[in-house]
Amino acid sequence: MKNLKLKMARVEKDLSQDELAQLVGVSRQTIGLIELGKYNPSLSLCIAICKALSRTLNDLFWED
Amino acid sequence: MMKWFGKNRLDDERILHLKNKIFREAFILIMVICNFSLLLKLLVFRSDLESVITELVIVTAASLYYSIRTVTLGIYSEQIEAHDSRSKVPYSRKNILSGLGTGMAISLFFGIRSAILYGDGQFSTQAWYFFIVFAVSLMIYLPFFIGILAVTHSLANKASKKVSDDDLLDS
Repeated sequence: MKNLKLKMARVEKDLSQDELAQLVGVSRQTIGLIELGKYNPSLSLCIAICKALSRTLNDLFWED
Repeated sequence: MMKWFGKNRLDDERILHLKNKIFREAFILIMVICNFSLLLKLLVFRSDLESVITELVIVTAASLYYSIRTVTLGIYSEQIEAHDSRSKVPYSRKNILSGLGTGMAISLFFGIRSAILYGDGQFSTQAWYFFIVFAVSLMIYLPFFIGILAVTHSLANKASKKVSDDDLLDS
């Protein structure tokens, strides 16, 4: 399932996938696949993304 | 290998997992090729043991390395636990059965080989040689393989469990 919350949070921070990837320390493709719902990141990667976007795990990764 | 050219700044977990998957497949491929080469040289080309030393070293060293690493990391006992929780037949029993199968297979091989090489083309002589060699081989190899597999499994499981339990200590 697509992670639209992540995409919206990234856009709100005015970051490209590449920029977010560099902040977090992964490749652009990995960010893209997470947003498309095609890759399940580990907890440590989820936390790194949340810190980069100044959000909580609930905000970005909890399914409503 | 990347460390030779400086620190790899990209530690992407997805890429790492995919590379590990590829390495695993390459390892399996190499083992299959080595085993195939070993059997081909021994059975088809009837080469002596010296010509298969390289393949033997590769297969033995890789298998030993894998076995020792799984024990020292504590995952050998965890794999056994996971297997026993899913399977009706416990791993220890499967181990004994595989020792039995290996002993039987080797005894059969030696029996048939002796019958063909020394049977002088006569069925009665061949049958006699087969049964004698098969029976003696069974007496030697069956307890050997069952014992070796059971003992090494028991020791490995014990050592692995200790490592696994030590990891869980809150220190």
